[in-house]
Amino acid sequence: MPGLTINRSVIAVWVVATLMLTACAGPWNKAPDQLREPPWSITSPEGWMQLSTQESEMLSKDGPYLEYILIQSRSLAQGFRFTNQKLEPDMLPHEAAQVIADNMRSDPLIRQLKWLASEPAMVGGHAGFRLIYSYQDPYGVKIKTIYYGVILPDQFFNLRYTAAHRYYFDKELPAFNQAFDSLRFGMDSKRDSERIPRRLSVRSKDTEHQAGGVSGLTENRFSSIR
Amino acid sequence: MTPRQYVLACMMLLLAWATPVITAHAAAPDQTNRLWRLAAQEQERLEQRGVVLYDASLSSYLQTVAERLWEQVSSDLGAPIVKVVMDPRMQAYAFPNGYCFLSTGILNRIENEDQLAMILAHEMVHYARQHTAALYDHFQMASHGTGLPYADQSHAAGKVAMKQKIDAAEHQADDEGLAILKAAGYCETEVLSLMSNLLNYLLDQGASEAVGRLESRIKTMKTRIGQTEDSVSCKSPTHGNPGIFLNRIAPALMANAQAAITCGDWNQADQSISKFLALKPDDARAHYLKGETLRRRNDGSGKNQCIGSYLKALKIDPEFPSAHRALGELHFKAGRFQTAESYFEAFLSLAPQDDAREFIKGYLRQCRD
Repeated sequence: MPGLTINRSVIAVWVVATLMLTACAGPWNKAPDQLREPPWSITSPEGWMQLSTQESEMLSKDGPYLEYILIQSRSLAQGFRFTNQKLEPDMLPHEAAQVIADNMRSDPLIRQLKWLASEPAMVGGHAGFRLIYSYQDPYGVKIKTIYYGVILPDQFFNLRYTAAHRYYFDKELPAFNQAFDSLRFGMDSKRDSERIPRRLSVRSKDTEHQAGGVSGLTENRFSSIR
Repeated sequence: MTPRQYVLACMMLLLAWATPVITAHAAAPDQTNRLWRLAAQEQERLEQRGVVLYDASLSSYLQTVAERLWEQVSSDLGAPIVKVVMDPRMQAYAFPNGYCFLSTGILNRIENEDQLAMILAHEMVHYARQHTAALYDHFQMASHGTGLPYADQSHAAGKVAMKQKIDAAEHQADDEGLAILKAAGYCETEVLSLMSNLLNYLLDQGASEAVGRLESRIKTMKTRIGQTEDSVSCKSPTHGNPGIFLNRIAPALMANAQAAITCGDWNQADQSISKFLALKPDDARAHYLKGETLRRRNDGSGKNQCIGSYLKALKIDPEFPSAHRALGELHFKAGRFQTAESYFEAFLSLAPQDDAREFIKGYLRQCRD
């Protein structure tokens, strides 16, 4: 299996990762089974480490340069780094996805950005979106990300899985999918229906599977872009 | 970005027109080779980011102006090649290998060909005098702590010396650029309008250090412009007819509007697209971008106006898919599901492979529920 062969480029990624980890060694701890930061909670993948910051929670198994899951809940009023666009409470999932995509496009350090998917998704039972993209980082390593986002009544919640495209992305994808499936929000989901005319979650079973059934969707999606 | 690329990027920024750079000082050949390699890498990075604008008519026009100016330059180097980068910031910079980049943001601010010629002439001097090579050489010596009079002095002294070299290079580029401009038959009086325009931009950006430097350059320029008899003989091809100039750079205005929307710079997006629409009022895409600007800036006043812009786009081109999508989304959010449904259906039939299709299919299902 070519994907499992540790070749020279994987070793190079390891070397860079080691240097990065040495440079940004922080308070990494063993991730608790259940990670809670109200209003959200998630089951951590087994054996992963956790880095808590004021802005976000990061989980990683082999080090953040190789793969990480980032969970962030931010105020809607908070600005973005590379665009002055703002998220608004009444935005449709597609409109919110556009803001996130534009912020990525404006990042000067990202090269060869490719959009692999942009679609609606159920995020913890709420109507949100999913973006999948790949890019080359400043060190020339190809990185791939799955980005889920959802506008909640007063905040924007996002959860992403980023990993080196070669070997690591596929390796830890099942762990990410499990974590994503475990996502719960401890809030009244009725509020979602107050925001937009009709909830994206009000749909047939078939549609529900397409938008929210991450495992099935991921299978199909990734078989075509592997 | 590697450290060497970072140094090069910093130098290119320092050499940019709007912000100041070094006296002519030839770097050693191996240094020059390395620098040219870094320049090529940096250009590749821009290409890979997908921000270089390719428009044959615009490129041809800019190249014609550059070659007209280059005829007045005495240099063994090859003629510079002008490229445009989609960036709403006001930037112009010359790489040491002769590639000169203008941002769509600076093209949006320029009022006529004489002003464009001054920017190109200024950047040409940086290239012809190999200012970046000299600055790079200086950086290298400073980092090794050798060959410089202040090598054993403080870091602050090094910074002051560097700043002096930068200022000297800028003044040289202004002086010689002005001479090239005049020799090529362009109107030097336009230079002060250009610089005042740049100054306003820097003030808007709150770039106080750069403002001070530009003010000093404007002061020097004022003493030099209008001092000779030939200063009023403007023979540029489009002099007195800025409409011709704007038509030629129109693709850059459209690209700038799109880039400004991406960055959330609504005022600039509006300015660019309004300029474009004044030239080409029957362009469906321009009306659509106008609508996008009004809708996405979301300041309360534009919500209804944007519908008008989208409808104009559809009147001009009933098969413009993005306008159908935008109108569908607006009606959907307002709860007018029947109206939204027809727009969504039109969008999906016109652009079945569009990136937004899955979202729209979802909204459409809800309209029908």
